[in-house]
Formats: sequence, C-alpha cells, structure tokens
Amino acid sequence: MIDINRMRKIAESLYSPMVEAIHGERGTRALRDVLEFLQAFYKRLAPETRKSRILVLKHLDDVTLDPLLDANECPSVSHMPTFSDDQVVVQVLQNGRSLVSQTAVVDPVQAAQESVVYTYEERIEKFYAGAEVRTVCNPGVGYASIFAVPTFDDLKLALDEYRDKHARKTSCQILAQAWKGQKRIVFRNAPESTMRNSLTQFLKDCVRGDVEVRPEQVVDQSHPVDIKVTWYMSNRLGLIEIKWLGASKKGPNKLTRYSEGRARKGAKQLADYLDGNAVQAPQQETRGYLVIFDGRRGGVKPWTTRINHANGFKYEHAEIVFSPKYHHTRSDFDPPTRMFMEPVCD
Amino acid sequence: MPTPPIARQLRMPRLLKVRLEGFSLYSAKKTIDVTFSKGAFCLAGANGMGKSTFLAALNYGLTGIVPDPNRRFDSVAEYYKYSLGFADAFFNGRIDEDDRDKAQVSIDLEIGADVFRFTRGVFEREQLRSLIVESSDGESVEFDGRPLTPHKRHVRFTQLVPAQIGLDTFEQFVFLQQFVFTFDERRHLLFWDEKVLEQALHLCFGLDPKDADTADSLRREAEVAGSLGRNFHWQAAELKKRLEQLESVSAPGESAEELDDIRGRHKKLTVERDEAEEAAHSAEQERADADLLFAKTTAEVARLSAEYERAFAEYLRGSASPAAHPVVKASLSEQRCGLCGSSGTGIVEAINANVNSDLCPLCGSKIVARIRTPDILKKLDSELAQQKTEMRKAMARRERAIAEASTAVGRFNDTLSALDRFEREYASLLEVGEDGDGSRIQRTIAGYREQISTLLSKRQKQYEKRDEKKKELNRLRRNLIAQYSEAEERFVPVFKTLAHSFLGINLDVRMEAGARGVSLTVSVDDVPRRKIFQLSESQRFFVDIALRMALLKFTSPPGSKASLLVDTPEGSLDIAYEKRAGDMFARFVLDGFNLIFTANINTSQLLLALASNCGTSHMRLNRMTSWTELSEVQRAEENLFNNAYQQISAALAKGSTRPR
Amino acid sequence: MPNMLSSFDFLFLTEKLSGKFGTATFGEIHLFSYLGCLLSLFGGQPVADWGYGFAGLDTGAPFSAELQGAYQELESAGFVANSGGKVVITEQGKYQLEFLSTLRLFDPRKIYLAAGCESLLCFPVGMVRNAMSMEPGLRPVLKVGGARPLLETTALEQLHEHFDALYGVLGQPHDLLAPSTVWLSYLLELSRKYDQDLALRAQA
Repeated sequence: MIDINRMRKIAESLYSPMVEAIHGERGTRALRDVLEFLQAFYKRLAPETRKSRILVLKHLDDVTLDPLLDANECPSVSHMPTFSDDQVVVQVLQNGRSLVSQTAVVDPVQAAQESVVYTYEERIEKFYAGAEVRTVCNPGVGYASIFAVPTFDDLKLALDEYRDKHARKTSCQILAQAWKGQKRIVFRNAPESTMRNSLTQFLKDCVRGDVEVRPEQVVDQSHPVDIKVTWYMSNRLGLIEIKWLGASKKGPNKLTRYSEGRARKGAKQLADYLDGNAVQAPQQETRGYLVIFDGRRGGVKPWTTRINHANGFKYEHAEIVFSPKYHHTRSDFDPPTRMFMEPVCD
Repeated sequence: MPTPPIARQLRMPRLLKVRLEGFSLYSAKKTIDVTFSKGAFCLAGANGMGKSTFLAALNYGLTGIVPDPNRRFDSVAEYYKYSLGFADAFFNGRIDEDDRDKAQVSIDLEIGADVFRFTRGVFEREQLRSLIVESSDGESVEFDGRPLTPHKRHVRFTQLVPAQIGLDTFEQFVFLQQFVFTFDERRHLLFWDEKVLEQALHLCFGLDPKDADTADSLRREAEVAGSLGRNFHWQAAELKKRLEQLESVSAPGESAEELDDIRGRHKKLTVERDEAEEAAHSAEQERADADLLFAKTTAEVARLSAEYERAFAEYLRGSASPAAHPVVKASLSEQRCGLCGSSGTGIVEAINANVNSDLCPLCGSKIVARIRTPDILKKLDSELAQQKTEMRKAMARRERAIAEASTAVGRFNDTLSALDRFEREYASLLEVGEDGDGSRIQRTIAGYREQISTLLSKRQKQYEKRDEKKKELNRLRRNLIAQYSEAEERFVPVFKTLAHSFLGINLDVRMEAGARGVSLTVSVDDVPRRKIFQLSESQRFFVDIALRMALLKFTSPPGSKASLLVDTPEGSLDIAYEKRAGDMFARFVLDGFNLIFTANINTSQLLLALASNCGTSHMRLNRMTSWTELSEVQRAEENLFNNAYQQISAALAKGSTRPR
Repeated sequence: MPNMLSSFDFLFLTEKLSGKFGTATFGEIHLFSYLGCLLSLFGGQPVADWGYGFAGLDTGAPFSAELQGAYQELESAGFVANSGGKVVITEQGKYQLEFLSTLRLFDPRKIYLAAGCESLLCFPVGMVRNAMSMEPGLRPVLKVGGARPLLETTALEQLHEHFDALYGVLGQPHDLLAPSTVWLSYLLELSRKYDQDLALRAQA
C-alpha cells in the first residue's frame, strides 16, 4: 500500500523536482551537469576534509558570473589545482570544463536566480534554484556527501575503506550506537549486532556488481558467519565473520573483556566453517573474511569515563598475531582486517 | 315458509395406510410405510426433510393432482383440468431419473363401509396401477380393477369415490380434499378467498352437490361474460377516439389546412428518417473501410517488424569479423589455439594468415560477404517507422469512424421512433390519404360508426348474459343462505369451540351475502375482521384450520373418522399460541376425527399440548430421521429436537393415563 | 532467444555503465534494463512494447533471459567482451552502437534506459539496487523468496498506483530525472526500514 503522503513529503524536500519546477528543462540540464561534476570532483577532493564551503554552480545559459571572470579555467577535474583550506567556488561549463576559484565571493541565493547552485558546508549539502533551497538527504552511512559515496568492485577494498573511513573515527551513525558514551572508551553490552548492521549497510551501498549482502540471523559457535555476500551471477560467495576486541559494559561494575585470543579463535571458527562449506558446496568459490573491530584501550575499569592519549591509542598499532596463519596457508582465507577504532581522548 | 331439508352429509375418506415407493427424496428409505391409527398422526422432522412432500404425495395419491401454488382458483372444473400437469414438475426434483418408473403411491382408505386399496404411479396422469374396493369387514370385494386398463381404473375410481362420499363429481372431491380438508404449505386461507369459500360452503352446507357445481359454473360464466363485455366496451372507446379525430378534420375549410399540416409534418419526418438512414449507412461503410485499413496497416507493421528482426540478426552476425570472436581473440592474445591447445607464435601467424585472406580461421572457408549492409537496416527502419505512423493514423481514423457510426445509427433510430409515434397518433388520418373532396374520409367515418355500434351491441349482450347468470347464481346463493341458517346453530358452536380453544377469545362467524357472493365473516370480540391483515398471521392460520375442522366435523356423519391434513405452519406461531394450538388439535382428535399433520422443533409446545391431551391411545409421533441422509444442519436441528422429543414421549405416556 | 531490442539494450547499457565504472556487471545490465522498462511504463508505454520480459531471482534482483542471450550474440560478434567476469564494450561495439542509435526503432527506449542510468548521478549503484528491491514486483521476491515472473498483473497494478501517486505529487514532468529520483528515494526509505526491522527482529 503506497504511502502517498510520504511520497509527497519526499517530493517536496527533494532538489530535482525543485529545479525542474523553477528552471524547467534548462534547469534539469544544468542540474545533470552539476551532479556529474560533483561525482568526479569528490573523487579528487574528499568533502569531509573540508572545513570551509564548497560551492558549485551551472548557469542556465553558461554566462560566466562576474566574480569568476578571472577564475582558473580547468579542462577537466583532473586538471584542477591542489586546494587550500579556503572555500572553493566552481562554475561548471560545457564539455567537462569549469572555472575554479578560492577567492570569488558568490551568494548562492543570488546566483540561483539564473543558475542551479550546490553548496557543501560542515556535512550539509544544499541545492538552490530561484528563491528555493533544498537540503540534500544523505542516507549513506558515514559519508559526508551522497555524491562522494564510493563504489567498490572488490570486497577487500571495500572493507579497507570501511576500516579507514567509518570504523576508525566511528563516522557511521549506526556504528556510533555500539559505544557506551561519547568518548568511545567501552562498548555497550553485546555490540556485535550493531557492528554487523553498520558493516552490512555500508557493503550494500558501496559494493557494486551482482551482489546480495545478507546479514545472518543465527550467529553462534557453529554458525560464526555474520554477513554473507553472494555474487549471484557467478558462484562466488564471501563469508564475513565479525569479532570485537576491547571491553563492553555488562553491568554497573562489570565489563566483558576480549583480547586478541578472541580474534584467533574467530579465525579458527571461520576456517572450520569454510571447510564445512567446501564439503557441502564444493562447486562454490567461497572466501572468508575476518573483520575485527578493535576497541582495546589501556587501563580501563568499569568506572572509567575519560581516557588519555597514551591509554586510548595503546593498541593502535598492535597487530594481532595469528597462529596458524590461515591467510597464508589457505587460498580461501583473506588476510584479517583489523579496524582500530579511535577513542575521544582528553 | 317451508322448512328447508337438513343438509346432507359427506363421508370424506379416512386414511388407513400409505406406502411411498421410489421417492428418491427419502434417500435412506426406498419404501416408506405409514399406518394411520385413529387420532393424531404426527410426522416430525427437521426442515427440508420432506414433510410437505409427504402430504403432497398423499393427496396426489388420492386425487391425481398436486396443486400449482401459482394457479389462481377460477372454478372447480377448471382448477382440476389445469392442475393435472403440475404433478410432473413437482415430483421431478424429488424423484431421480432412475426411479421414475418405480415411483408410486399406494393408499388404503375407508369411505363409509368400503375400503379402497389403490396404487397410483407418480408420473402416470389419470391412471391407476391397481384398484380394489372391499367391504370394510374384508368379506367381499365390491370392485376389482385388475381386468381394466390403468386409465379405465382411474375413471372408475373417479366415479366410485364421489359417489361414496356423497358428491356429484370427482372434481368436487379433489376440490374439497385439496382446498378444504388440507391445510398445506400454500397457506391458502379459506376465509379470505371468496371464490373458494363460496364453493366450499355450497358443498358443505348445500343440499345438492349438483347445485354447487351449477353455482360454480354460473359464477364462472358471469365472470367471463362480464370480462368480454368490458373488452367490447374498451374496443368501442378506442374506435370512438379515432372517429373523433377524423370528424374533427372532415369538416370543410379550416380542417383541410390541419390535414395538410399533418401530412406536411409526416412528410418531413419521413424525409428525416430517409436522410438519417442514408447517413447511418454511409457511416457504417466508413467504419468498415477504416477497419480494413487498420487491419492492413497492422499486418504491414507485423511483416516489417519480422523482416527487421531477421535483418538485424544477419547484420549483427555479418558485422562481426572472425578475428573479433572471443575464441580467436583469446587464441591470438594467448598464442595458444583455443580449440586444440597448441601453442607458439606459429599459431598467431596461422590465424592471421587466414583472417587476412578472408578465410575462416577454423575451417578455412572463404568468408563471403553475406552481410546485410547498414543501408538495408536503415531502409527497413525508415519503412517501419513510417508504417507505424500510418497504423496510428488508421487507428485514430477507425476510432473516429466507430464513434460516428454509433451516433449516426442512434440518430436513425431516433427518427424511426419519431415517425412511428407520429404515424400511430395520426394513423386514421394518414390511412385515409389524399383525395380531392374528402369522400374517403367520410366513408371511413361511416365505417367506424358501424363498428362502434356493433361493439356496443356485443357489449350489451354480454352484460345481459352476465346479469342473467348472476340472477341464477343469486337464487342458488339464497338457497345456500337459507341452508346455512338452518345449519348455523349446529355449525357455529363447533367452530367457536375449536377457535376459542386456540385464540382464547370469543370468535364469531356469520354468513354474509354481498355483490361478490356469499362469504363467512369472522368477528373477534364482536368486531368484524374482514381484511386479512386485521388478524395476525398466527391467528389467521389457526382460525382457518379451525374452520376446516369445523366444516369436517359438521359435514361428517356420526361415527365418521374423516382425516384432516395439516402442514403445520412453521415459525409463524407465537409461543403463547403454540400450546393453545395443541389444545385445539386435541379437541378435534378427541372428538373422533383423524388428523395427519407435520411438525418440527418450532412446534414442540404444540406437540406437548397435543400429546398431554391425547396420550398414546389417540396420538402417534413418527420421526423422519431414518427416512433420509441428514445434512449437517439437519442433524443439528434433529439433535435440538431430541430433548423435546423425550418430553413429548413422556407427555404421551402420561396422557394415556389421564381420565378423559 | 534474444531479439533486436534486447541486443540494443545490452549494448547501450554496457556502454553507459562502462562509461561510469569502467566495466558493466551482468546484474547491473539486467537491473538498469528493468528500471528502464519501469520508467517506460511511467511514461505511458504498454509493457509489451518493451519487447522482452523479466523474472525476479530469489536474491531480489531482476533477470532477463533475452538480455543474457543477447550477450552471447554480441560477444560472438565481438561487440562486447568479458573482462574478469564483467562486460566491456569494444571499439567495434561502440561503432555499432553509434549506428544503431540512429535507427528510429530504438528512439523511445533510449530515453528510458538513459533515464535509468542517470539515477546514478544521484545515488550510488548499491542504493539503486537496494531501492529497486522494494519495487512492487521485486519486493515479494525478497520477502517471500522463490523466483517469479515480473510485470504480472498484480505487480503492474501496484506499479501504476505508484506512478499515479508520482503524477499526483509532481504533476506532468517534462523530464524523468525528478520522478525517478523521487520514486527511488521513496523505495530506498522502504529498503532502509526493511533492513532495520530485520535487524531488530534478529536482536530480539
């Protein structure tokens, strides 16, 4: 049963109907150009690294705006200069060309009278057309801009990206719920399901291809796999097992602690499971991935609410030694991905 | 004033036994045997088990008739004649095809001192399979029907029965049996059907059954004459209208203008009709043409699409260079034959040599340029696009033509109707047509006048006939009233007692003679209830039953144990009256009469009252449970009846020991 | 059995998706062809005009036997090539596509195929895939499991409900970008909610 009120609210808040309504066909064409530009641009310049505003516009008639008259013309994104921390203003022209400036002063509202204007500032993106403005809704986990969400062919690369961009600083809103408290010192009780949800959502959004990403409903000793990634047009299967290390709050004065032994145990579980799977489905090309959410800290007690840098980052480089090294002895076992998760230190 | 003779008596039959064979309706019992001992015989069962059918089969056996509930009563003779065929329709749903020949009703009954034993095949009209008449002591055979044909047996039966009863004709017996001494599911109420009641009164109170017959015929003839008279009157009136029309335009001068005007309008309407017909015809032709064009363009599009598909496939195949084939490409890049696995630079050279010489690298055949050039594909593409446009246009034209044809035909129908209406209104004038001096009109006027005169004369004759018959009828009615008056003091108390036991209030009945004939009027607490709705439904039914009981009691000679058949009205009895109805039935039975009636769970209070009064000596209860396979609903109903049945059985046992 | 429409679509989508990602995967080609078909329904085209049908796999993804058959033919002809399990368009293929794009037969579908691919301007491909799993035809496949034909009467009725709602909120758009993004956003919300509900049930 369709929720027409919800659809109406979406239409009212989305930028594309706004642009069409205000600027008509020319506006939609301009919007396409802006969107294409943004996707290429954000491969070069990660928006979350920017403190100051990014403004991108496309004039409906390709008339150069006055503030950009002496801007740099770049034939493509790859020809753009390295940017300082100042704001960036770009006017998109035809055929991939653009005018770039870090000094031009452009008022988005004014410019929007004859242009489609996009701004990014502090993880908030907006589109302007005429007198209207719409905030871009970003359902993606952990990315500053929906136009900057990458797409990975390779599962390992995707896991690395997740480690670096989402787990490291807990940029993902879902993953943030795994922590007990803002300082990210200890986990909540039983955080594994939250971790699984976060990673699942990320993989669903960012892995391209003919994949089905499915979180497993039963996860226990005999079923250690948390996420199954199936390439449905071939016989490939990726099995991801999640383990977390660190401390989780079990009660007011109790912590559950897991150290690297748990990771080793997880590796064995995964290897055993791969063996079992190989017997059951020998024709399938299965690969195992052990993902370790590393929230270990030094000197943590049940009542610890603050942490210094030394304790917080004590395990930042503490790689886990696996024995046996399944990723060396087995062709179906990917090197484990340890994701160190930074705390918020004093 | 001479003393009128005492009313004669009717020895209506007492049923002794009945056997039903081949009644598929009773699925669990192919042969149903019922013996009617004296008193009340109750057939009890859930709805839909065939209680009413049982009574209908009984009466069918007796009379060879099943009454058609949709047939109105006009006269005794007509009713018999026109009801003869209904039995087949009635029993068709109740008897399987395989059982048709087997199905029969066998009855033993007593009329006076004779016992009649006979069998009637269900689907054998006016025939009897067997007939024997014996003395009631079994000593002698009064009549043996074996030597006769089935039809002759039936004929003899129709002579013997009324004679024994004291009636003039078999039709009269059928009438009394079906209408008066059976209260069945038709719920035909005597009190409020004047024709039926008058006939019943003639038969029950009249001295001579022939009078009843005569009265019946006279009434019918008077009705028919009256109806004919009215018809002639109406025809004359219609002609008068047309005459007036003609007369209004037959005067010279201004009326000629009116006639011209009428003719002019007629001509205009005719022209419009013709034009509309022409237009409709054209529109239909256009529609047919558009249909054809659409079919042609559609077929052409289909043809071109198929051709396009073939050309495209050939184009794709033909566009490919063998060198582009994946196996060849892989072989070249890996320097290893993709078919046999041989490797080395020689492989590449060999393959390239073939490719460059337009030879197939696999089989070495010359590669002939069998491709379809792009131009052919382009041409087909252009043709197809064009033809699709034509098809769209043809579709639009067709839709428009359909709409226009529909409008044109509608318009044509309208002009037809208008012309038809006009011609009917002015038929007389238009018939006459044109003439110079209006003489044709005058001749037509004269003709109409003559016709009207004839019709009025016929009307008069019929009315006179009607009045004569009525006069005769009234004479008979006066006799009847006189006879009733004599009988009244014996009859009315019988009725009042029966009715009082049911209603609990004072009921009076009196004969009234009016323009429509003789009838009985019932009064409750001295207030006449002439209209059917002035009594409640329950009251109506049981007052009517009381009347029938009273008539049977009144007409039966002493010691007679005639049978009344009652299909007890289900669901219409108020609980308060149920017991009283039982008391009424008991009174009838205890006076020595037989009652054969049906009951279900809804009438258990009635049964209790009857059982308590009658006991086993005067009542038998027969449950139909074993007669048929019960449906789930019926089984549930029967289970509900179990408790009531036990109570009734107990009441029967107790009733036997009560002092009377 | 492939036909000229499925062959064209395969080539067209391979080119479009390769342009974006470098290669095209089979699943993506089927997905965007299906999306193009649905957008053509939104545009008022009869479903039969698309020229071939789809089935929903129990992974919640659409699949067309004609499209897959077209790949065989195109690969044999050298217009597309397999690159590590993914598909790329060859130079010969580009040339052919350029020519075929001039044929009027393919004009209508190019609009819808292109519009489907343009959704990648607003969403990453994973989100488009997730959103499409909530489309009326595919949603029961995901929820109940078991492959089934798509574009059957019931699903078509529901689709038309969706599209009527889109027309209701957007009026008559002159372009497909706005309606496709509104619709995919709506479906994406449903997908997110579905995932959250699954996760909650698993926790419970």
